[in-house]
Amino acid sequence: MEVTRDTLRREHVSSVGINSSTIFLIVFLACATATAIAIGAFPLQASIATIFLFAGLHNWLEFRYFVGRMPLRWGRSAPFYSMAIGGVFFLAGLYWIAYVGSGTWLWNSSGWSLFASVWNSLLIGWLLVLYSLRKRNAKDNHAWLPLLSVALLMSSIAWLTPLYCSLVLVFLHPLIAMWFLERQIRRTKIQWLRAYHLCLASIPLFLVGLAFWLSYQPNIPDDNPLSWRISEHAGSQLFPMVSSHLLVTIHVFLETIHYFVWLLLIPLVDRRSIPWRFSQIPLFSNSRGLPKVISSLFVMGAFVALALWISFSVDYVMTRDIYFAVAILHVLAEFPFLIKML
Amino acid sequence: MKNLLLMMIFVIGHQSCTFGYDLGPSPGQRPKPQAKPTDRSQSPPEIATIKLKDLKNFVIQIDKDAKEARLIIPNSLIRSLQNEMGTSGSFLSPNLINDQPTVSRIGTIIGGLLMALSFLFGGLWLIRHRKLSVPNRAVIAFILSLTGIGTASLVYANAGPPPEVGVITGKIFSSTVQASKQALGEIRIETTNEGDSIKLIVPDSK
Repeated sequence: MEVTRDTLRREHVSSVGINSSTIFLIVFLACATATAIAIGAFPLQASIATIFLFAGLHNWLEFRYFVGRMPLRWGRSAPFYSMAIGGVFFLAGLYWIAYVGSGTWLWNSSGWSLFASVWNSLLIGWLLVLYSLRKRNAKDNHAWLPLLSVALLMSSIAWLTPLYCSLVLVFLHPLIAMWFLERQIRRTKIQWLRAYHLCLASIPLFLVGLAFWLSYQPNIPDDNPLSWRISEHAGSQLFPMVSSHLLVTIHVFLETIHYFVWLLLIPLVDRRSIPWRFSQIPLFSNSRGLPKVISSLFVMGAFVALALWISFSVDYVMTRDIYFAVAILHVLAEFPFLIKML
Repeated sequence: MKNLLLMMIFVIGHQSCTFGYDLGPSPGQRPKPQAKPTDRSQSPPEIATIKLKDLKNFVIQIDKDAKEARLIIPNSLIRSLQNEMGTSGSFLSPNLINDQPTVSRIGTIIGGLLMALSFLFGGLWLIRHRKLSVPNRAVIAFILSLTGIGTASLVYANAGPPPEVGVITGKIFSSTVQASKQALGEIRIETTNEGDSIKLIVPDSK
């Protein structure tokens, strides 16, 4: 049941003392501050620890959330979901081909730039089509013009600065989770909306604070493959003039918020997303659903998460590489569900 | 619709013309970048270091009588350096020389074409929405702010370094130059038969 703005107003007026949204705001800011300081002090260790602990787990929870949002029958949304699922696997497939083929003669520098440009343009085009399918019944029939204009501008940037655009996706991905949470709060916990907007507004302040603190720090030593990969993933190669200590800290800070959004905050604001409440998943609980398929997928996902922990313990560097290649699936899967919530 | 088609033809034609112009050195002439976003086979670039057995000290001397910066290298060290390079190859690995991404010619053309089309459709949208509603005004305000911030960033990013950074004098040890983390300027390289240390003499300009 959605809570209306009137309900919010009434609750706000009748509340005495600190309400839950204020507590949420205070806890968020306190946790974010502690996290920023800890990561700023130990960026490499924080990167290794957070990915080890949360990478598999948050993927499982995201999958759980998406399955919970999938309708039993697609109906008029069939083109949207078909395009969404097709696009996710097509773009992920292209990405994997590039990943598997990396190191071969095909992938010299210009090959990589060209691939990044084409892939990013396809991603933007896919998002444009998805948004058009989502809003095809909208009243404003001129809405496609600004959308097309923005999409073309983004594609243009993707061609002019292909590798920087790929890095943008790395930093944009954590923010998508925050957008998800905003849409979810609007639906199920609107009394927290204002507090959450303040939380969102604090993120740039944290980033500015980190920049002031760490911009003159020496680069993270990249004398071993792991630290070099972590720095490179955060863009140290593309921004050699910026301290890699700062880049890694910002990346890990945003990723950590992303993990906690999926692990903690979304289940907190949406009772249907509480992991063990399988009865809230239409595809699982409804008689017309696919309970066996869904339960098998959940069990398989749990095994993958477990295998990920074991693999990280055995060979962290290789597992990290493989994880980030496979994780493109969940990065892409977030977009259609976000568009569906707009 | 007719106007739209004509404008598109114009834009595409204009962009095609740029193909013939020299947008920059051809791909064969520019250094090939090595940066790869997700190359799992990459490993940290290795620096080929050369240790000169005969080099004891590097001396930096601030000289108030000096008119220009001079780097004085003993001939014995040059010979030693030549010998070492003969066995170690280049000072820098190719990765270090060519690790900056560049915009390819085709990328520039397609990027320019897409940007022109973007402005075209954006302009059309503005024309068709003469009566701007409040949300649209907000969007325009946002875009204008973004443009302002972008322009300011570009100007700031392209601003030249402080004057002290552009010339090698005693001021390279000042806090202003230290903040820039680099100094550049003309320097005269000399060789000498005396001593076994490389000496950098910088004018003491106040």
